[in-house]
Amino acid sequence: MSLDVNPAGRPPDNGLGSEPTEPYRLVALEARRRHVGLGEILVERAIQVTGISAILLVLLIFVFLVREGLPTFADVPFGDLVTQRWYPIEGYYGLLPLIAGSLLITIGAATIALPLGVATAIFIAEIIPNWGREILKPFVEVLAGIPSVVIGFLGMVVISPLFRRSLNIPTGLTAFTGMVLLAWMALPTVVSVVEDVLDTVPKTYRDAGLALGMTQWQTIAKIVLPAGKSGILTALMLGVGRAIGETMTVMMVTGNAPRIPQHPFDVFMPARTMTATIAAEMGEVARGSTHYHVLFAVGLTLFLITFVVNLAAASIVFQRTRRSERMLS
Amino acid sequence: MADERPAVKIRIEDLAVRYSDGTESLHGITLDIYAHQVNVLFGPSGGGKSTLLRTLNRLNDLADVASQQGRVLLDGEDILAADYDIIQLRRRLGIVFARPVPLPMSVYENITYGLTLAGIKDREQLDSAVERALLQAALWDEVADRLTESAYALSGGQQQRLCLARSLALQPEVIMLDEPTSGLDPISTFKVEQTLQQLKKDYTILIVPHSVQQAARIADWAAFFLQGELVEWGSGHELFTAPQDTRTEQYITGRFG
Ligand SMILES: Nc1ncnc2c1ncn2[C@@H]1O[C@H](COP(=O)(O)OP(=O)(O)OP(=O)(O)O)[C@@H](O)[C@H]1O
Ligand SMILES: [Mg+2]
Repeated sequence: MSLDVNPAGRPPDNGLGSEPTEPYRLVALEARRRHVGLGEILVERAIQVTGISAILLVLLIFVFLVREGLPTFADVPFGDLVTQRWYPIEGYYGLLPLIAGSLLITIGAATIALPLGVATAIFIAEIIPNWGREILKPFVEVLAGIPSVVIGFLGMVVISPLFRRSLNIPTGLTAFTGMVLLAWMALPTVVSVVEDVLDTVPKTYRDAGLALGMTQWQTIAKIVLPAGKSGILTALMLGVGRAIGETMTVMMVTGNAPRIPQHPFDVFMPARTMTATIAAEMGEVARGSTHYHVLFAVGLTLFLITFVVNLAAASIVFQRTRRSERMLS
Repeated sequence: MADERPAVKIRIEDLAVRYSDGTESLHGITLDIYAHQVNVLFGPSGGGKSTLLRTLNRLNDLADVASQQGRVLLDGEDILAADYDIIQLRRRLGIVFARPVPLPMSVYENITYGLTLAGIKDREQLDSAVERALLQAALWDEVADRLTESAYALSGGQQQRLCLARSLALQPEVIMLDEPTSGLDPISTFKVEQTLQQLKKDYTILIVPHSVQQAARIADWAAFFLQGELVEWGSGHELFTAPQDTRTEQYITGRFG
């Protein structure tokens, strides 16, 4: 930006641009060519092969989804897919209630998990003394490993009867139950990622705030959190990613009724997600039938939604790094 | 000379600081910081200079300090007392660190943020405080038309002076600087050094310079720290021309350090 920096001992740049760096690069390249041994070539190749096969695998999954899902559009007119009725036995293939169910439960779970997760992470990273941190951190990480069936089981046996009784609703198997349990599942991930992010914010940042006469809370809110913004966003996306793809818990506790919520109170009614639909029905359809293809189309839709979410997250994070790179120059 | 010493701003009496990992970073420090003078703390790495600055504005309260003994009197008041108002103390003793840490906001807001926290809301008052602080930090000319830009858009040297301006805006009584020019080029360094000479009219300056040469250039008073011990201190002129202790002499002539 400004030109007031002149590295000692180097002649002032006279506008010749990158010329002086060219010969230097050539020398480095030559030196490298001479030193590459057989072992290095092998390692390089091995890494290439694994890297490429990982990409190929993802592509294969996508191709498979497309191949099995695409015939849907031959069997069912597109207009019928964007209707509100999912009742495959009678030939109704409206995807909207499934998409609505997935989005509702995912967004709800994220809305619950993010503030709780960030608050917990702040507590662990900034407030409690070191010994407490050493106990709590691994504890939270263990929580992340609880299988989703176990959480779903807990939801069916404990949480959903509790909701039914305390909210006085006909069934405890509702969208809301799903949100709470998914938030619970995503929480450890969000906490430990945000905690790591806060950990990487340099101590000098906190000192700067405190030295200005800010309280510890003002320092956290005004300096530490903004500095970790992109990392916190990543945590949210990881949480959402886990929530939207989650199947077992949702299938066990949401009641699985494919209906579009009409007004806010409907979160206390059953809902059905795309994942639960695929898991529940895939085992019973005839291979190659319309129903079978539609289920793949549902999977494809899920894939696309996840893809877009990740893309959005990546682009925001990427923008951030570019800005901080500019900061350093 | 010895009889005409300036007024004492901070008196440090027999200060000892020990971190919880067992290192005694300061012991038996007795030292006066003079008002409206450039007071320099220098010595090799690990000598305890930063520890002393952080003790003075109680930033070390949050670090792993195991024990702290002795007294630090600011205008006669013991600032290490448990019930001393730390927020107020930190507004009286501003500090600028080696690496500039702009707040994630605009240049203008960087300077006004501390002021609004202190309760100043009047727009005109804030405007004039910003201009005054930037002028004092010798930055006004460069950023006058960039006040709404992000502070991160400034160069490293500009960010450093912005942090200085941010401290100055709070109108502290003492400005502490911990190697403020270690990341700067010679021209920016020169600007900061010049600024200090201007600032001592209004403030007490306590600085850890990043080299012996810089210490000798700017010191009215100098204190030489070695491994947590205050080897000697006195007027900058005497200390750099006729040091009493051989260790000081060896260090400033570059024979160890
Ligand atoms: N937070 C801390 N916890 C434990 N020990 C510390 C801490 N901060 C500093 N020390 C130790 O205290 C001693 C003095 O450190 P200090 O940072 O005050 O030195 P310094 O004179 O500022 O050195 P430099 O010129 O490298 O900045 C060192 O031995 C250091 O390892
Ligand atoms: Mg230091």
